[in-house]
Amino acid sequence: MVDALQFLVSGLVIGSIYGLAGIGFTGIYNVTGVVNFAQGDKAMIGAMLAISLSQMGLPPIVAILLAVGLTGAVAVVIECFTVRPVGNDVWRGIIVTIGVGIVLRGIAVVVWGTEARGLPAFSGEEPIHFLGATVSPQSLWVMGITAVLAIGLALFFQLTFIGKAFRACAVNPFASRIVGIEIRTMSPIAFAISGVLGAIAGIIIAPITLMQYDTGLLIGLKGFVACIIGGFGNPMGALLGGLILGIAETFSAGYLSSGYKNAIAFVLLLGFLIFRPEGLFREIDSKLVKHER
Amino acid sequence: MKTPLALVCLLIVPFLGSDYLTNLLIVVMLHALPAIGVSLLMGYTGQISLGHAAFYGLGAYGAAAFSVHGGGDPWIGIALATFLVGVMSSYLGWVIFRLRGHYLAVATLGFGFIVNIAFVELRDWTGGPNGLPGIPPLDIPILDLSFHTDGTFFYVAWVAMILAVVMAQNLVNAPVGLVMRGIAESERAVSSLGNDVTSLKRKILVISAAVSAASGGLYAHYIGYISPQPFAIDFSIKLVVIIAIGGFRSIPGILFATLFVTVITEPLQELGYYDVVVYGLFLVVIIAYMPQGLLQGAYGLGRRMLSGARAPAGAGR
Amino acid sequence: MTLTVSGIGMKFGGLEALRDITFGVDDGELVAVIGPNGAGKSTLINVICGNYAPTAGAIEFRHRRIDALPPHIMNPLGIVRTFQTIELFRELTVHENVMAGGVAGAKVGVAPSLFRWPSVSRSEKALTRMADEYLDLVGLDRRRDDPASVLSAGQQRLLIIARALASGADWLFLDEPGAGLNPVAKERLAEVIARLRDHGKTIVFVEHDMGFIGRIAERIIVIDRGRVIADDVPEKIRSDERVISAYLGVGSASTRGGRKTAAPSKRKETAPLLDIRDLTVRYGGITALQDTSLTLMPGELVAVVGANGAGKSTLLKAIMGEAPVASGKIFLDGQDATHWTPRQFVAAGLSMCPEGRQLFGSLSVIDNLKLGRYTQVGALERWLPWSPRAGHEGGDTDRLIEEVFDVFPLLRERRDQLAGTLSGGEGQVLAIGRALMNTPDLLVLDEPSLGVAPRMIAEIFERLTALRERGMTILLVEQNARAALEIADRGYVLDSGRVMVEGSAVELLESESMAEAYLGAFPVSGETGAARTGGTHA
Repeated sequence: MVDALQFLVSGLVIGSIYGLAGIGFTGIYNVTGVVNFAQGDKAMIGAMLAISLSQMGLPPIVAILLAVGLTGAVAVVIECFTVRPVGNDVWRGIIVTIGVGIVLRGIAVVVWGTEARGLPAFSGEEPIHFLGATVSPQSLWVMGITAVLAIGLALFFQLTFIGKAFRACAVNPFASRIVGIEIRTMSPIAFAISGVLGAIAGIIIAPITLMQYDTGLLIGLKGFVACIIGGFGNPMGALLGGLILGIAETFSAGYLSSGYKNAIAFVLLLGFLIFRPEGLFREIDSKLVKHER
Repeated sequence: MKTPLALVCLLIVPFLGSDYLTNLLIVVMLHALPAIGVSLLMGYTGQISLGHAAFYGLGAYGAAAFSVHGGGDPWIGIALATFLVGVMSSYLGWVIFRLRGHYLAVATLGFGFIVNIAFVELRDWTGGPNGLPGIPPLDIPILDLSFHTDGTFFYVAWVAMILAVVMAQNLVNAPVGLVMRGIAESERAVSSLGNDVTSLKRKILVISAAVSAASGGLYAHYIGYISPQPFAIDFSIKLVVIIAIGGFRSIPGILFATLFVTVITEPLQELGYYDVVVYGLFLVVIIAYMPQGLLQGAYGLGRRMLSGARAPAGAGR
Repeated sequence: MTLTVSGIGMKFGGLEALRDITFGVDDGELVAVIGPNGAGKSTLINVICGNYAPTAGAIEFRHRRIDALPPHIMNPLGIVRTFQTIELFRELTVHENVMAGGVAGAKVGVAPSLFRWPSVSRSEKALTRMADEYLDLVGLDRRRDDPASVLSAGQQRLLIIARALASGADWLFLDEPGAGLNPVAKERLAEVIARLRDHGKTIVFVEHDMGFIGRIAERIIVIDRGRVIADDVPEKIRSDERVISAYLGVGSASTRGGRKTAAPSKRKETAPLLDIRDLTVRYGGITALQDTSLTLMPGELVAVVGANGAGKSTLLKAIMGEAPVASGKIFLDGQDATHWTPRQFVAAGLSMCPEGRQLFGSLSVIDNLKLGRYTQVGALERWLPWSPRAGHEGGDTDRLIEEVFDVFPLLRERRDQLAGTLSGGEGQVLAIGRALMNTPDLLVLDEPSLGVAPRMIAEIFERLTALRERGMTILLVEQNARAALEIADRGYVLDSGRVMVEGSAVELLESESMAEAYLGAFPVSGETGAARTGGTHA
């Protein structure tokens, strides 16, 4: 029982990261129709930047904010130079973002080398004991920040014009153009938001699992799996999907073998793609309801 | 045609006495096989695959396990591994070709990951992360031929490549090749004309996977030691880079691209990870700005610059 | 009957596209399927050819149930189809396209192809010969080695017919083979169809151009709202009252309201609000709109009517910046708007109610309305969860929402309902409300009556009249010509991408030429059908 509780907590922690990556995918996909295969690498870039900046002597909070901002800016640059020329061609979108991922990882190796780096925990390492399970303070930070971001995003999507415009693009791109919403302005915003989310995800997890140039790849892929579980295009579904995936992973690692932990994600992925491609909590999506013309 | 001539000229390479060159070209020729496989599936038939490293790896591990654990004849091992990968990919195709676009891409990527994890985890068979050493080199005792050195193995790789090139050319030039290209453009039209699209895709996948597996088997017996790392997702992506540079639907273009990517990445590797940055950049630039491939793209760009002076640009696409 | 379709129904979610369709076709017949936009013609072809499995009923072909079979099984049985969207293999040559059509029938396997067995070369030769024959038949032999993508629209349409023939099937279902073709190309198409008929092929085709149909078809099946409403020879169809009202619509007496004649425009002398001059729009090789001119004075309600395929939707796309304008100009309020983006049009005070309503289904009614205001909202306000001007006069957006609720009270009751759950008529009202949120100078409506219950249509048209009386300029595009012209000041009749007639609404309502635009001028009987010359009934 104590084991189970322990696994649940660590599953929620890692699942939060997958969920945040998944929300990043969703935001971009809903606006541009592109699945950004470099999404996870933004987490790596964000964390690496934060580590470097704090090593340069900046106060941690400044380093983190700066790293988050810079990653958002990088995401916007990526949007301008790679995604925009490709337009809504699915095939080219996939390959070009894979290429971006390669470049980001390559640059990371050149700048930061291949060794794993970490951030100091935000508020000490003193573990907290809770019903027999041990929880590190950083785990609470991860879950807390994820919850705050999720609520903030939900409010943003519900209450602001821009948020509604995002939902509008997802539901009906044609109607969005008709009311004057332009993909040209929404797309960089989507990339910036996903870059910021990615960077935050990378930074909050960096004290728990070390960051390496290729850590982002797996985070990204699992974020995608989270999207599939939650139903592609649904941000809150992606978050829940991420949590489900995280818990599935830690339980299987705990009760089966840690080596197969990564395989779980892809088994779930294939299972969902084949048996339930619409995911668990699918919203009404006009892209799926094709009307014959 | 200059390509056949160039391929024949390759035969003198082992006599040039440069071990580096011989070794480099063996790698190029072995990589050309999976690249051709990806081109058949992705370039000609339009079905994205980000998991071909898995087929290559399964061929390598299958053949290696057969001779290392089973003590069987390496040639039979390669043939058996190729056959089994073919059978497996047919079932895989039955599953994944319900999917398209992003979903297909990620499903193949996931497949590649699972296979690679299996290479790491099935320690009894694969040696886990430490790899599987002691894979015997190839020979043909009846003819008293052995392929233990780079200079001799070169010819094995050459024959394999020529076979793959000829068969791929046969396929794409045959009437079936027209239907493959049709699938890439309009599945509904192809199916309305009486073709079972899924079955055809699966057959192409089988060929594509088998040619990759055969190459993997040869590689295992050439190098003598295999570990999971060369068969990871990076190699699948490298294959996509190669066919993007080669222009997706051109067998000679892909041979050239394999050479090009290997030649530029080898020296860069010495400098650290610059090779990765460079081929990533290639991929981005080609896909975003030269969708017809590097050769065509560069050619078109040059022509546009030359004609730009005379005719107004515009027409566009 | 070789093909019997009995009681076919097709539902997509809640939408019933086909209901109880029953008819039969015999070998050697040449049948046209017609019907107004959204009638279900393409769905019918899709159902017969295996692209959709029908949700009710049965289809038998040569005494075999075929209604659950996929397309690639239909083909060997003898059924092949073409697509409205052409679906050409653009990267292949003309000749290769036709060859590709015959590959399945030639049964060349993948494995033999790898080794180039003799059987492969043999079937390649046979396919080459067959492809040449069919290219000859459709008259494309001279373009044999050109890339298929460089052919004109008409040639592409002929090429896909040749490709379909190469599959060996002798029943051809052609989905709008004449769409986007000029008269010369249509003439060629008619000849080819007649020739196929002489070769003993059975042809069922969907078309809009009634002149074309009248010339070649021997029998016409008319579909409206998913049902067969007539099935007869062309001469009878033309005078069938149900067919005429399906196409022209029925005038709704109530909308006639107090207005007796077209009210003279009060500001006749002022500059036009919308001025379209010699506009030509082409998609690829297809000319959708040719030298079309149209003016709209402030305060006018102008109707643009015409059968589907006439170019109405293209005209609207052009004034939303969504169509590739080849030549001509669009002026909005004196400004050159020819190459504006949709956003620029919206920001300049043009609001669109697109065909099919195009609501944001998973957003609430009130959010749909708010998004209608998107371009008028300041950059800061877009990012804030509240309106910064809320303190003063209730905020622009909120005040406008109340105004829209006053015009359409039913929206007030459903303010928090998701737009996707509204009925057709309610949805249309919301689409209009959303357009009004932009406080437009010019309101453009595309087919507001499509998919809307008749009672609701009357109400919507009444509201439009009221808006016009309040000084709004309205451009109304309608297939339901009678209803539209009854409330309009002036009207334009589009046909085959051109303005055929323009004039005051009253004149148009009474003119003969309008019926002609919809139902075509049939040639004098006796000459009916190039198709019939030498045709032998099987």
